[in-house]
Amino acid sequence: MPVLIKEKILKSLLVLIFLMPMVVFAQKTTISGYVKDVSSKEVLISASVMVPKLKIGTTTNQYGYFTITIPSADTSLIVFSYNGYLPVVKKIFGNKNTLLTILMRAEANSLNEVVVQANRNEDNVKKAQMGIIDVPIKSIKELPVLLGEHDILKTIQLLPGVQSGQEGTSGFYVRGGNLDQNLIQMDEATVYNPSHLFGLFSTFNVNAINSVKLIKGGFPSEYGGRLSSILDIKMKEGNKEHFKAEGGLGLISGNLTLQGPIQKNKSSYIVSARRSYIDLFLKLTSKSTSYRFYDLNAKVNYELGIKDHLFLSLFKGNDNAAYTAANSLNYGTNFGNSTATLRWNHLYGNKIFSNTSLIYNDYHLQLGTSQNSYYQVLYTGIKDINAKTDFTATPSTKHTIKFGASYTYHTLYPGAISAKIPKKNNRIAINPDSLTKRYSNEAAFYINDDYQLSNTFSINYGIRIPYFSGSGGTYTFIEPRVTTRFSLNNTTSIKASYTQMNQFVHLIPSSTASLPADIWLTSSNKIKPQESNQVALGLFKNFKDNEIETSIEVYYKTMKNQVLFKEGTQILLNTNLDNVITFGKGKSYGIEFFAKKNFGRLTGWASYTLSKSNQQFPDINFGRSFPSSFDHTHNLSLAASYELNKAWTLSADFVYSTGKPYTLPAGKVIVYGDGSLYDNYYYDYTKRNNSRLGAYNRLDISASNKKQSKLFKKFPYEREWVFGFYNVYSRANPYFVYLETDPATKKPLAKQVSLLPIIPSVSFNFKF
Amino acid sequence: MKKTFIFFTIISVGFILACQKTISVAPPSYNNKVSIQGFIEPDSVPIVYFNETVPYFGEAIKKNQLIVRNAQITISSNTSSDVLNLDSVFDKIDCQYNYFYKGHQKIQSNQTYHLSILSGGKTYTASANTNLLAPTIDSVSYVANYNDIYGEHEGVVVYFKDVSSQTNFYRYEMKRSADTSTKKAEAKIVSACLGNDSVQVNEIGRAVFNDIGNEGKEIKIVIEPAYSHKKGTVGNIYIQSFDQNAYDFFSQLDRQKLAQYNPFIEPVFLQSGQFGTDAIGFFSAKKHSQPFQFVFPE
Repeated sequence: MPVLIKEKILKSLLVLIFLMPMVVFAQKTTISGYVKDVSSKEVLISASVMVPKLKIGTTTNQYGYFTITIPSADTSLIVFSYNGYLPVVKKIFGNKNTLLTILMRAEANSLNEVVVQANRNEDNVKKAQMGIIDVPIKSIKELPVLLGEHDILKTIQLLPGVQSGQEGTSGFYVRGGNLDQNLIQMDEATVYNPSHLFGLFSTFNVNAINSVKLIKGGFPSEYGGRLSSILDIKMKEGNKEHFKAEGGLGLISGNLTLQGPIQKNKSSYIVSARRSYIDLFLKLTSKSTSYRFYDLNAKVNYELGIKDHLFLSLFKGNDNAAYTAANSLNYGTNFGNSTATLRWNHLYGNKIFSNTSLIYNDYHLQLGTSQNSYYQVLYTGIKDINAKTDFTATPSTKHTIKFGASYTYHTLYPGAISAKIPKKNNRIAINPDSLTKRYSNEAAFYINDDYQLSNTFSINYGIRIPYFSGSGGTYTFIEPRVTTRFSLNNTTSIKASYTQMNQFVHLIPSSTASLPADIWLTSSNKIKPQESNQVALGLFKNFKDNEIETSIEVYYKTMKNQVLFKEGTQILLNTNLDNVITFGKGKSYGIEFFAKKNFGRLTGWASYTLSKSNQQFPDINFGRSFPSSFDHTHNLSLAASYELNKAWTLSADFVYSTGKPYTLPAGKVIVYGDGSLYDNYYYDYTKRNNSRLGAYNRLDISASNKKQSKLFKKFPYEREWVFGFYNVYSRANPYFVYLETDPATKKPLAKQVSLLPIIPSVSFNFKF
Repeated sequence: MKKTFIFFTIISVGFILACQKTISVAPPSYNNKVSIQGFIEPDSVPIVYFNETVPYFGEAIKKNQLIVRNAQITISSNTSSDVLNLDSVFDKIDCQYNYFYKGHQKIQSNQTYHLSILSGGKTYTASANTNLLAPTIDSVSYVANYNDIYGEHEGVVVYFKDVSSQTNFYRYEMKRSADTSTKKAEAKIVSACLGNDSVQVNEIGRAVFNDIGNEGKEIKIVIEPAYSHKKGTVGNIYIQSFDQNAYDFFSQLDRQKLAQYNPFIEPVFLQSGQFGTDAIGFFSAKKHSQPFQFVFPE
């Protein structure tokens, strides 16, 4: 974006923010409170709160809280709605400010759905937000999955603008950005590696999750620190009414979730644990392969009063694995995330909601890979201590102002070695304690206003000011954020957004290794922060009383200070990683089509993305632009779930995407080297990423059968059998390609390695 | 229990075993270039290798089929001009002729020479100066185990003193004899042309070195021998000194091979050198040190 336009946007935003206090205070009635599930008292996030008469509304925030200010009147009707729940209509009398707790009842079954006009969430067309998708937990639980493990990230990969990585991995790429450009937060704590089992499953246990929100553009200013997306995951708080237990047994793991009140309606707990047991069977079948993982979520909360609420959430996940595959590929890893979040929600009066958090997270990855005669060992340790406070003020019907600050103290200690496997296999090991630690400070301040100028026009605008200091580098930025919405009619709107983002932690990707071999680094005097500028324009249209949401979004994103390893970099223990990195720029643009059916027996969505993502580095590819390693031109995802009857639900998903680019030599050069160890033939590469793996496509299906039963004819419980097939037609999707010489013809041969054929699964779930 | 075990075994084995197959890939488009390697050394006649590059996914081709014939190659200085002619030498190990262009006049010291190649309507030019000095080898030893970026290997350890008056670029060379009992890069030499003969081979180190940070000091290099040896095998070791054009060229070849073998290293693109984008290669002066006779202790 030209500097002049950027300056103008910044000036306009500053003027608007300066004028905010002058326009916001007028005598009105404020209705605020929490929206909760009636049976568990679990808060409902992003529930819709509408005043139909005034055609104004809001949604509950990520803590289930809402506040809406309306002109004083004798009576006002407020309609609360939430996907999968029966709507609640509340009549408010008088002019007094009111604090409510709204309890909503889940629909027993969508076959008996009650259709109430205007009760369905219409944020898609009514809010000045774009590129934001709330992923229903119900969808995550219904879609077919690998080996019966419900997976948040696998579902995320089916959304428009989101692309999966390699076969079987749960990492995702958003709008042409690298993996590290996604900030994944669990109860506000950063999760650096959200995967289990070589990335085949995500580390999040669905039974412990309340909400999942993906933001891929039009970032409100409370979010920052990554260029491409924010995945905001909130844990459940625990049932405040009754003790509940649910769990499941799959092919490779089992899980159990317990929740209940500590003090009824005042405090509760939830503990959820998952552990694999495939290692017990692998011990009998293979000595070289082992898988073991576990994750544990726990949370307690305590309501000090209606205005104060304390939370403590903990998460720990760990993986230990070894794997042997084709092309003498070996892989051994031990990695884990631990996070702790202490949170305090407080209401100042009834117009200002605050959330203050102290967060700790600890991540380590130890990885040993060998392929052919070479091996690599890498270690990354990250420890973050984070404090943040956020305020939401609703001074008038038209404004929702958010402001806050955060501070993070990062400690990173990366190290890597790559070498030929010694004859006696005495490989060099990395001692994490001996690695040089990189300390850094990251802080941010922000202010954001969601301003409803009229029924047809609204603007969400703000500024975020991030600051970073570490390893000899100090950086401060001013990031403008603007999203506007113009309604063409009640069901159609046009939206546009501009956001600037900066990022101070970087995952340096390896373009050649077949398995993840990435290293995290913080910015320094040599490693400048990554920066992106993104503009997006979208048309949003809902049909059949918001039963069907559709959208078309186009985006254009530029990225500065992208990082890659220099050509020929061989990392040794004493390598200064700052010196083996090269910097360039990236550009990504595309168009995303999305149609989603929210209600009825058939639910699901279809998304198609046509996109292009390029990078350009002075030291790479002769300085010319090349497709980034995560450039997939076409991406089609279909996800559907059909309730056949009260017992049976059928689900399927289908994905198709253009193959991943990789680099092939174009020419062969003879060099007369006399009796060198080398064979005198060299590669003439003409372009980086000049070839593509074959297209990826896969169909998964599943069928689930639910039934209410009684244990010992006495204790009622719900049980569910889920039968599924991953990759139904067993397509050999490409994982990577390597080159060999045909011993007979002496011609080069390309060999493709594929990972996951058809995989059946069966799992059993229960709920008391 | 038995059925459960079989079921889990099938699932886990299916999960573990990745499959691989040969696939056909669309060959990247490629415009053939030329490869030029020209060393000039005082008191020797110039030799220039002038070959064609070929598509990687093309037909298998012998290296002597790549020679570009009918090229007009001239090496000239202020005082001389030498037109090179196509020549060849029979390589008994590869059992084929190797072709190159060879001059007639010996190269002089402290002269600037200009290479001009006219071929296929294109002209390739470069210059080199023969004002190089060679270092003196002080000592040579042997280690059975050595670790460096190439991994664990045996090594010939060469100590030599850097020439302090210039920026230097070095490479190792050993002249020795080999026969069918000798292994090259751990593969036994198989040649129908060699019979029971032994031939002299020039063993060239794959790594190149510079004297940055070691100007005028003693330098130690450890070289993995290309050919197998026995106790008492004799070789004459040289240190070649050449200019930066040759260093840059051989350095990128070495880094590319490391990346080609080691899947954890980013691929290295061969950069255009002195001849522009249509040619890969170098034209450089070279100077050998005095030989140092070395006898392998094992």
